[in-house]
Amino acid sequence: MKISAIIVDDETHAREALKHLLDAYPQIDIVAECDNGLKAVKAVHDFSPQAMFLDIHMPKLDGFDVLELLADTAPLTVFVTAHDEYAIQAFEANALDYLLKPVSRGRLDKTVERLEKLFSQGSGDPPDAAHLDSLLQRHKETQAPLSRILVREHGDVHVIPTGNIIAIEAADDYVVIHTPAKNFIKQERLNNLENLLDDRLFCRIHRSAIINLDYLAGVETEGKDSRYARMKNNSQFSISRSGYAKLIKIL
Amino acid sequence: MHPVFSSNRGLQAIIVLWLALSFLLAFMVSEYSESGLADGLLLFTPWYFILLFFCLSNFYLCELLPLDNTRMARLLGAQGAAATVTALIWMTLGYFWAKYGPHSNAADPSAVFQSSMYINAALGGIVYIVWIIVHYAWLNARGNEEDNSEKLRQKLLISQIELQVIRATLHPHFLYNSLNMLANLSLAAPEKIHSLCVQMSDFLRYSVNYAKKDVVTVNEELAHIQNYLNIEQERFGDKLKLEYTVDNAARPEMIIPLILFPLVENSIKHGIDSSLDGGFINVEILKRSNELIFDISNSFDPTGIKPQSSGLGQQSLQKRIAAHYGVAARMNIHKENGLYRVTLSLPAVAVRSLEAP
Repeated sequence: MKISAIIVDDETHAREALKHLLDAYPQIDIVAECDNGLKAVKAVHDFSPQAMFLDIHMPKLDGFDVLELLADTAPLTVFVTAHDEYAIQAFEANALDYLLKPVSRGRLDKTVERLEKLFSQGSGDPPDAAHLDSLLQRHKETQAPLSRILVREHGDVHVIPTGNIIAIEAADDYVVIHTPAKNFIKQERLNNLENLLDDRLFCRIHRSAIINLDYLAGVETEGKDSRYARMKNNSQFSISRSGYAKLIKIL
Repeated sequence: MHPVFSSNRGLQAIIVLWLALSFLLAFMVSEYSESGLADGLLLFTPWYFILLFFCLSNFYLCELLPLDNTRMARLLGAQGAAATVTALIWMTLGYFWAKYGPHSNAADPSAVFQSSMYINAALGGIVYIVWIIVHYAWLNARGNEEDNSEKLRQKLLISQIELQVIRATLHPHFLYNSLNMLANLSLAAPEKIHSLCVQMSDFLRYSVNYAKKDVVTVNEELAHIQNYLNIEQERFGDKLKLEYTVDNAARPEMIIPLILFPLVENSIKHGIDSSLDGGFINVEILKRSNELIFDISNSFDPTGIKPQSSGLGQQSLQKRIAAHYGVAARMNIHKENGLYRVTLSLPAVAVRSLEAP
């Protein structure tokens, strides 16, 4: 049985060395090597590997960003990192694995054994997705307020600086992110975003909408309890009563 | 404020002591002038006691005329004049005290005062001079203490900064990354390991040994950062483009060690390591008449992940430069359109005086 895997690391030598080490295991089949997170997302989309060796520290998109973007399409992930961090140990408990650089052969043996076991049981399911979500959320909270939001469209990744966001609207279990150029769809809960965004810049004006105060053009009143926020690009979002109170307080 | 007044106990002690002294002097003068003992004590004790406050006020004069930077003539003149004025006022006070103060009918205090005038003036003068000496001794002791603690503080600051620099240089991240790279290369390209090991040991040797020196040449500093950047070059490959422009006239100039390293390390961390497509670092060293100009610029990606950094490296560099060069050194930081540029200018001539004799 073969396990298809990709290697993600921004350092050429690191990828080559890991590939060299993994060559010793015929059951692992390296289908792609990626030198950054964007390429990793694309490779997962194109090749649907079963496993991913993921460096954490990378420019632009780090390992956590990659996992967040892939969400439930993420393959079984083995973190590869130079620095022992508590965050990663938490992931290990979640049946994901982590390797410290430089990777020791003995440790890699165990990881491969573990992968084999998981896949031979036929489950091969990525571990508990809800747990992973909450770990990622907690990781992101340490970096709040957000300076950008990452959105994946199939294999492509869009990085949206929060300054470019006009408003975010909730719809079912995803959100629509309005920017001057176009609208993006992201699987995320509005509550999570509200917690992560800078509350001096963004205001939750309704159960289903957060607006960027920089893009607010005016508040229009239609009837007693019906108000709209008119944005600079002429889009409108309704304001709830409590949202209006919040808005008044900030402005 | 006179130091005596700064503590209650000190003030009490002085008053008790002075009362005793006044009493003793009054006793001596009474014996000498052959006035009745009771009348003599009544006349002279309060009068001598008052002298204390005249003497204490001399402290301010001593503070105004420090011993070590006042000409002797001026010092003697001023203190002499003060002593004369004080004596005059004090004698006048005594005259009126003798005339109108309480006394028994047995003697005429004014006559006693007049007969003992010279001995009183002499005693008063001696007491006043003793106080001048006490004041100067005290001021001198305080000055030494302040000087010493200031010097110690300065020394401590500099060695603290130096320690920080060494610690930052031998940052575990650099060692981790380098060891990592060597481990990777041993599998991927073992033929590169030897020259890298040589560069790494040169780099570490400089960081440890040269950090203790007072001054190094610009050329030595340059070799050090070139070692570092070559090691990083191996790690980043063509993601890192390096360019050096160095004025040959600047090479033999002396500067304090490890001022370039924090700057290029910063460039690597913020410019190259956090950017997807890599970038460039330009190192420019120029000599202009009396100035050495170090210009380190690098590209950076404004939308990249911000690396975790306390900015400690640059802060301690600035402190160190300020401690050694004072206002003669300038450091400017420009950041715009994806270009980060630090310009550091150091005096080229004054630096030589830093060299230990």
